[in-house]
Amino acid sequence: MTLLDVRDLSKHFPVGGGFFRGSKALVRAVEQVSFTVNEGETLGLVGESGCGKSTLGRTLLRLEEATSGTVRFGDKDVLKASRSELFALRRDMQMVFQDPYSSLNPRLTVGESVAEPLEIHRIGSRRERREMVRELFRKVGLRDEMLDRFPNEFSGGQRQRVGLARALALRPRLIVADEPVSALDVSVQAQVLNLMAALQREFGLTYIFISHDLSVVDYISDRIAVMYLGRIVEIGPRERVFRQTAHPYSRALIASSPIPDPTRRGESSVIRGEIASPLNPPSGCAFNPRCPLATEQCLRERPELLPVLGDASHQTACHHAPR
Amino acid sequence: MALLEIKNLKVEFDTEAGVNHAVDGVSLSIEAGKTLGVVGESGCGKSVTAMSVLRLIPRPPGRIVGGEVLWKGRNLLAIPAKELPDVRGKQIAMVFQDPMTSLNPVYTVWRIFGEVLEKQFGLKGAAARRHAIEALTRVGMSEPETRLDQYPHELSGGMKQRVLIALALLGEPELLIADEPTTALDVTIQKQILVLLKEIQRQRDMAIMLITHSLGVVAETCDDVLVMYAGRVVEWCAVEQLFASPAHPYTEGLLGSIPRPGQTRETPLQTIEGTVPALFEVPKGCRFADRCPRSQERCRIDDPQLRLIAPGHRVACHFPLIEEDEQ
Ligand SMILES: Nc1ncnc2c1ncn2[C@@H]1O[C@H](COP(=O)(O)OP(=O)(O)OP(=O)(O)O)[C@@H](O)[C@H]1O
Ligand code: SF4
Ligand SMILES: [Mg+2]
Repeated sequence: MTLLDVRDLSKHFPVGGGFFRGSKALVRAVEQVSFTVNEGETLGLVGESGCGKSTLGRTLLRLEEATSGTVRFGDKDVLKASRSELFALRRDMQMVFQDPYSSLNPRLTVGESVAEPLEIHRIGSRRERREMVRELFRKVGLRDEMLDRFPNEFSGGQRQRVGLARALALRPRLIVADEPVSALDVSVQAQVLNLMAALQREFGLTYIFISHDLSVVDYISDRIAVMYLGRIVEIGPRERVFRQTAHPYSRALIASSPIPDPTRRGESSVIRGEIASPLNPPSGCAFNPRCPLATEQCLRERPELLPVLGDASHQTACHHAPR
Repeated sequence: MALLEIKNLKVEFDTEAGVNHAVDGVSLSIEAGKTLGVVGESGCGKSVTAMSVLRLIPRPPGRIVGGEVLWKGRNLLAIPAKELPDVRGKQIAMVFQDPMTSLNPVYTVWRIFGEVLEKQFGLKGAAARRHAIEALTRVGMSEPETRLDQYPHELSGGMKQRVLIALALLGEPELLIADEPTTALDVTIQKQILVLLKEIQRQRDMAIMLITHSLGVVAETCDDVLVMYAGRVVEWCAVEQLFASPAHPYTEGLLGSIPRPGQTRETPLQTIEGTVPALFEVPKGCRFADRCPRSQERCRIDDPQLRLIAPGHRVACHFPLIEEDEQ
């Protein structure tokens, strides 16, 4: 069942040109993005820094106002929701951030931080809330006695657990996790990934998991969307995107990712160039300056996101993809 | 003789909570033209070890309290400070962890190069500029002449890292110490930089000490690898040995923590429970004992020393995963 349905979502930021009003440049951080997410699945969102992943995540939850497009969550229109409707929607849609150091209020004990969303939504009495927080702490693998400590006494992995407990407090259906394990050491990263998978099974959660680390996304996701300069260039089931890759940029990402196996040395390869400025994206296909397959058509026409080999579950935006 | 050999290095820091024994008996060596990877979790002492080589530990609060850093047999920790500039930047160069902060933001790239070229090599004016352009071209910088007149904030992360590498290579060093040179970069740019480093290494027979937290980067670029844990070396061997037959329980835990290609979330990742101990008092026994699935009574009493268990394979553990060779 479709839980989230995103259509033609765009988010533009005006930048610079402070003196000359009207001549402001636009950063097209998210441009005409469409996709759906089914209840209970994980959609992995990958791409290089500046490709718009985080802005997309924030716009979906209306932490950022969209420029245009629609976002439907269940039967509700998120972008048109009034203040009070949005307040109610927030119970169902939560966010977990990359930086476990700055995402918690240093003046609140971690117990208070986790209780805060419950308070804001007037759920339970003080005593009941405290009991709920205890329960949440157990769920994320933190000990009871840690409740009354401050975030600075916690390690990165522990803080990320607190962040998850806080996000779970309102029993949301969707969690957008923005680079939730990127700041963590690998052994701690594994703990948090295992925890997220277990919580998903237990609560039937739906995740949008944003990461630049392909091995992590491959592990945690059912489906994967690859973004480049504000647009989705490929989306599909995990094994299709990773093993029947249709877009040259997705191939480049996979080929550039280091493989933790010295016997496979030499399998990875380099792609030239750097991501263009979102202020001044190349015409046609935005990937064309770096693309080994680029032809004249790629310089002129922007490719649309279309099914690969006639299968609508796997789509890509490339003129040279097999249709 | 090894190009660089570190013997039993010890470094401490004074902190409010007491003395932090950040590096406590680290030994390693690097041969000319080879790459040694140094891995381990945040805070295990990788950067402190690297900075000690060129005596760059800020003092106070830090101090090197023991050991030797032998550069072609000469102990750099014992030479007069005025001889250090002959080594620093010329024979041994460093690229630091954070390209965003290691370039002076108010200087153009040209001015940054100009200062180094004048101070270290006595080059000025047009000759210096030609030299700088050549240096940038060698590290694959696009439009080097334009870049020279830009400020660091006008460059992408990858370009900044290329500038830093170009600066480090000016003196044609025999050893490049690169501390997380690609951690802040996207994977496609990381790959470009790693390939660049390997290429320069081949051309010049330069040795590289590559500090990283990525086992993937180690597998792709290093000849040998050192695994550090809590200020100590716990395993040291050829890269192939590390991945095929890790000997230390900590190494095995690290390897199990990374998702394998094709592994899905139905199969939980292996984890190392618990956290790294604080190093305010030198612990008795093995530092990994609290988290170790193989620990026994002896581990809590007796501090395991780094020893050879197979040709080229050293481990500091009483109960390693592979048997000691008979002989
Ligand atoms: N200037 C300093 N003052 C006080 N303590 C320091 C200083 N520099 C390093 N330390 C301490 O020394 C220990 C080792 O730090 P080091 O920077 O070498 O770790 P690392 O392995 O490089 O970690 P990372 O992966 O996070 O870069 C840590 O406990 C750290 O807090
Ligand atoms: S010495 Fe003992 S505690 Fe330490 S790593 Fe080996 S088995 Fe584990
Ligand atoms: Mg470091």
